[in-house]
Amino acid sequence: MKTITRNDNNISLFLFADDKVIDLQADRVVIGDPEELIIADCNSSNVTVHENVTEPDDWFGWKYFYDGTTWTLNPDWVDPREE
Amino acid sequence: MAFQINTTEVISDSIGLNNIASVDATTAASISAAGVGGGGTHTFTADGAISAGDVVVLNSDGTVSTVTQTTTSASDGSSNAIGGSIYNYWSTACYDANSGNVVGAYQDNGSRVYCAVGTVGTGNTVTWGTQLQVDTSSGTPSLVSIGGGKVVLTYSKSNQGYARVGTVSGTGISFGSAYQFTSYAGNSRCPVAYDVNADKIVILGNIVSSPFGKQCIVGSISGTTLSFGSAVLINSRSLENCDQITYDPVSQKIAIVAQSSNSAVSSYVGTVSGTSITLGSANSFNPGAGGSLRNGALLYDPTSQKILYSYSDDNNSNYATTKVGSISGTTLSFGSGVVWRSASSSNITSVEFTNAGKVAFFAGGYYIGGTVGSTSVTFDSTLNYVGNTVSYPGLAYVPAKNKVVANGANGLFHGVEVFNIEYSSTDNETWIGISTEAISDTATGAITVFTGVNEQQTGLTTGSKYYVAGDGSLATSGSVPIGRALSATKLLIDEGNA
Repeated sequence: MKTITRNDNNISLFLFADDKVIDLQADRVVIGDPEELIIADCNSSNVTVHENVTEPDDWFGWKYFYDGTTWTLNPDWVDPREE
Repeated sequence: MAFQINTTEVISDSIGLNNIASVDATTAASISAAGVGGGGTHTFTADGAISAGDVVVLNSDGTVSTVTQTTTSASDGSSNAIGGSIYNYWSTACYDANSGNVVGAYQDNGSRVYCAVGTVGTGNTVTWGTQLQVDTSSGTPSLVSIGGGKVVLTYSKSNQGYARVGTVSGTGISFGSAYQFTSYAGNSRCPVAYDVNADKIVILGNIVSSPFGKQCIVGSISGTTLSFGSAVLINSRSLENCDQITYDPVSQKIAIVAQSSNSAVSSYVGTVSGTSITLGSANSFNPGAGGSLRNGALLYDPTSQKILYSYSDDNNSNYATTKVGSISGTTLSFGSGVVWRSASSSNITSVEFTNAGKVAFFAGGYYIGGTVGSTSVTFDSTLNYVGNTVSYPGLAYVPAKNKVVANGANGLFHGVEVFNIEYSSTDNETWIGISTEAISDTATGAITVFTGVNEQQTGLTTGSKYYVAGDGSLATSGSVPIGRALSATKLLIDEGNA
């Protein structure tokens, strides 16, 4: 799998399949070829793509940090599906 | 005797010119220099320094200045509320063009719907007139403006759906009788749209008798009286939070987005005829795979003439996402999604910000501006935060103030925020000509005006049409035309701006 993490805190924001094209641009991130999704608040300066990762079974956006090696549970995470 | 070229008359017997499509720059300049046709140059006094080749605008005192573009930063502020306690769910608001005011409605925690008219003042403030209790045992209001100082308010009352016509007078509002449009609304919002062409409203609701499901129903308006046609089934699910409706004045169709299964949302296009509506086929576009927890907002953007669906994406960690759609025939299709807040988002809604040609998006206390393209939205670089001071808001844009009123809940109490997204304004539409020389402040100089040729340009593309951009520069596209390039340095001003 591929994950996109924020550079300032390593929070894992997105998770995509290995074959999904992720294009980090200066002002946005484009997912898919052809384009399937645009991420307007992420760009090549504020996020990093990690490839060939094995995500936690219960992955959800903002639930885990990933530093390139290790997944760490975000202690402040609240499941929005239960709010 | 008339003079002809290739059998086409170019000089008439009265020595008038006919069938002259264009003249070369030298001829145009000669004609202009001779004073023929009233074009050429005119002498003006400058208000501020002007450079040769600058597009200038005419000021009210007869002086001229360069085009001014002003950028206003996003700002927000809490304002006074309509009422006190609130049921922490969706409130509603709309703009009344007749009075220039906003109309806001909410449900208090005693199951009563209240409504008031607000006037946006200076800064981020709104002053509300006396609130009116619309009904008892009622909730989940939705508003739409129908013009002429009137609005239609839908709400549930003892789980049944009702609608009333409101008349705005100054900062007050009065309502006609309540008309039941469905025997079951549950506790859901019953979104309502106004079909300007047909002069009808269309409301989403539920049908409890067979066949069970969500419906749309056409309402006719006469004064403050409402009457309804037969309900039309949309699909067999109950009305849900993501179900929304709007009117597209270009296609003159009703656009509906409604959840159609546990894992799909579909779009529908309705055509109103008389007191009935005909729906095209469902077009599943599946923005999220969740259930009714997902919320959504449907908006027609008059600038781009597109339909926007903004939602919390259950397929993508509940991130705030918007799709751009358009109607072709009886199908509403959407492009790729654009995530504009990569964090779990709720209370998503949007409103047009027409004077800036943009749309304001709101999600759980965050707001941002976006410019809508043919299939996508380009969002501003900064996401702004108003705080936890308003949730589940109805939004209304006041064009004269360039402000959005967010009418919602602040915890257990009614809360209001007034904000604006970042926008630019320009006086380029008041251009009068192009300077032929550098003119100092208060000095006089020659300005090339309508039918004249300005020769102080550089880098023009010969033959191209040119427009005055917001910053006063010349561009080959835009909405304020000025002339056509005769060469890289010469522009024929062939557009009047009287």
